[in-house]
Amino acid sequence: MTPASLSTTRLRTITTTVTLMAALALVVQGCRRADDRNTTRHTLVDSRDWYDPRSLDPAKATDVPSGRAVAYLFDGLTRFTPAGEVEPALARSWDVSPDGLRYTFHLRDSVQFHDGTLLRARHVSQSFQRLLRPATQAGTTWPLFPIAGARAMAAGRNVELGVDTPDDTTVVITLEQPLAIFPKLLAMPAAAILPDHVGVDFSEKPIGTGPWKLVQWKHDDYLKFARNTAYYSGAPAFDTLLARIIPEPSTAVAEFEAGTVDILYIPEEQTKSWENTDERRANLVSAPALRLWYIGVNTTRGPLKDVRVRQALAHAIDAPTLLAQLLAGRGSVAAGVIPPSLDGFDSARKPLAYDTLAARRLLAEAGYPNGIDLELWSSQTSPWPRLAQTLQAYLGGANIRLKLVQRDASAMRAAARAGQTDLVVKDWYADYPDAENFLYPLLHTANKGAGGNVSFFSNPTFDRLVDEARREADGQRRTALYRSADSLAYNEMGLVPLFFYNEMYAVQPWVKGFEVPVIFNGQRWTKVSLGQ
Amino acid sequence: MPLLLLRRALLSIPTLFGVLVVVFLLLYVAPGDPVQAMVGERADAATIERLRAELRLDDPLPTQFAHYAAGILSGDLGRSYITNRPIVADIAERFPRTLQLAGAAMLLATILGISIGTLAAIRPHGWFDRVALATTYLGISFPVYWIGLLLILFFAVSLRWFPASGYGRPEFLVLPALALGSRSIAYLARITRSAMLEVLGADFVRTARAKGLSERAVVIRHALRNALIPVVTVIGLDFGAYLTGSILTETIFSWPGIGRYVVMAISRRDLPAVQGSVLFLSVVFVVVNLLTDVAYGQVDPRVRAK
Repeated sequence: MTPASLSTTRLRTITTTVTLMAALALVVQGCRRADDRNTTRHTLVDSRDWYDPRSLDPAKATDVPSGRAVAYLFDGLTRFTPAGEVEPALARSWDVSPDGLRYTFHLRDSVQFHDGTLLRARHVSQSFQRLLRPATQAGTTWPLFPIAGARAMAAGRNVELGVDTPDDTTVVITLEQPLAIFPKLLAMPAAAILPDHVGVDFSEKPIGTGPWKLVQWKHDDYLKFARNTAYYSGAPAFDTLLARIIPEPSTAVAEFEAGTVDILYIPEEQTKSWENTDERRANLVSAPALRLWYIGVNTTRGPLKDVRVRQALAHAIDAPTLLAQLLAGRGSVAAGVIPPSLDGFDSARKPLAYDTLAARRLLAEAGYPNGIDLELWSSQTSPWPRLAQTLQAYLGGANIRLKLVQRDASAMRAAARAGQTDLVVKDWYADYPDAENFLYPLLHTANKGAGGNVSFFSNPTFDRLVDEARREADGQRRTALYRSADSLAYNEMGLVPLFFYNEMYAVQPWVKGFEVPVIFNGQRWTKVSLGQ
Repeated sequence: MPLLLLRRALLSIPTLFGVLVVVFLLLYVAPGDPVQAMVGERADAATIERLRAELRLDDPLPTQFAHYAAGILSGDLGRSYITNRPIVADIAERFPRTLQLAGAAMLLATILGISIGTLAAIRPHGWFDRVALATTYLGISFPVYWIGLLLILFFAVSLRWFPASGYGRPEFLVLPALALGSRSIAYLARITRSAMLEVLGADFVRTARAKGLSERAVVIRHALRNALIPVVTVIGLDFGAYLTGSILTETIFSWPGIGRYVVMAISRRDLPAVQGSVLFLSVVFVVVNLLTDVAYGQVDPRVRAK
């Protein structure tokens, strides 16, 4: 082996490698300059979706990414503002008959679909019938169930639906029974209004009346929207909206810091690091979300049938410390199921104090002086296992011995709905901003099990209060009924409420006019502009 | 050789049938309800019942299996429960992206791994060898997840040379390919080094040198070619693994490939999507193994002769 020949070989290799790398760097630099995602400010890049939308067909939009995209592409008769108020959309206004059964919606008369056809009253009736017909295989049909004949139609029976169209701009909807929050249900993705011809590829080529048109959908990669310049209530101020799908939160953070995405959802575990860094804090915006974290307590199983045992659970948990330590104080401790930003919330009601002795006493009174053994189910994704472990420690202090069961989210939910869990720790997001959307699904007898009431809580007085509130047209009286129902459920501890969560986003300084949406489909980017 | 290939291909049929049965059964044993996943958290019982009937989920298991197997044999993997898109189209959209990533990672690993290994073996215990051994040791030990995040922080956030994540122009490929290939680079370098050290001490190498061949000819034409068999094995195995399981890399770099598709399908209990894609990936794995066998023959004439 001659050292001379070897070093020549090595030298040549090194020279070649260096030349190749330099060439590569030049090519890459060239590409970067042509990168339209990053350098221009006519595009807003959203990083909040972490999985591909299920479908852009409103009938199948059951998840959050789909719901958001449907809100860009379509309108309902009504819509939500970022703050969660319901406002007129395709309907310019509406009247309600004195008995609360008939809603007359007056449509705007010059709204065009993305393909140029005019919106007519028949589109409303057609869209609703399509959603309800079993052949559509819709995922969510219940928002239209208050309409007369809707349930029967969804069950495949040949019935008349209570939607009449006396002329091109009037839609008269007849309900089965009065429901004051009905206009809110019409702002949900499922109630979006579709054009005449809806083909089999509608999910890939959706046509609506919304502020954005679909340009391209690269599955698992991004959705690209172009602004609808003819939008009836003010076209968006920038050209393109890019909803990127970024499954890993740390990657989304890196993209934000590299300046390549404009809005970022702050992951729970990063809250402190964002709040405590000056330049990061400047980008933060936050608002109370319509999201409750709670322990579902199966009120039909063993010791949990006794209200004293359920109250003991609440007494044994130091919720304020949990919130501060585990969720970086992002939210408020709950003493009921109605979030602070909704009518019906009672700021005077205080959560049961952290008092292990009181918990033990209640257990003893219920006949369990030696404590009890229960199973606590949670999902496997962060932060649920940690929360479950902490709850195990707290409840252990009051002689409530927990066995932890962790499953993936769908298995955990299936078990809870089937009544196989004692305790289950989970959260609940609102579909529409109203106290009813917490009280009714989580605690009403009609929703035991599959409907969302995993506590299998059933209380005739509570049911009567909620039913009455659903019918009550007067806002103040309805709020009072909500408050009483919430109070009753808290005293009965139909579930153990833990916290109401705050949404927190980082927004680039050049994004102007962004308001945190309290509901998933409340931000349509029509009031946002891009500056320097 | 063609006979060998044919025999191998025939042998893989029972394997694939086994995969079909196991995947089908596993999903029924696993807890969680596909219909619940379809309709979201708040559907009424009537809707759930109607969908179960439509999807034939209430049929006896053998009937369901027969129905499913018949579909597969006719080349139809069915439609996703969740998105209603044909599974074949979903795979056709995502697999080429995974192929691209795995190909780039493997190319990088082959070039860098074999070069580093060869250079290290030429002068054992020299400075290059020491540095290479230390770095490759780290390369094998660090999880791909951590390497990926590190690459993003350094090259995308600090230096801004490459995009942090996403799919598109060639520069999007650099960081994920490096992250995915890092383990293979390290592993190939070490295997090449030890195989080379063995070969470089062999009699025929001494003969080649005695003939007065240049050092480069000795190392590349004579020694390296003989050291390649274990290297080809590793390349084949790793490539197969990358094509079917680069889930972490795809997740960290938002790479819209088949790995993420399978994981999402599993978490949503999307039975046809899981069954179809796992079956497809099993076929891919079998094919890659067959190709590795062919490569042995190319590298080593003795294998061909058998």
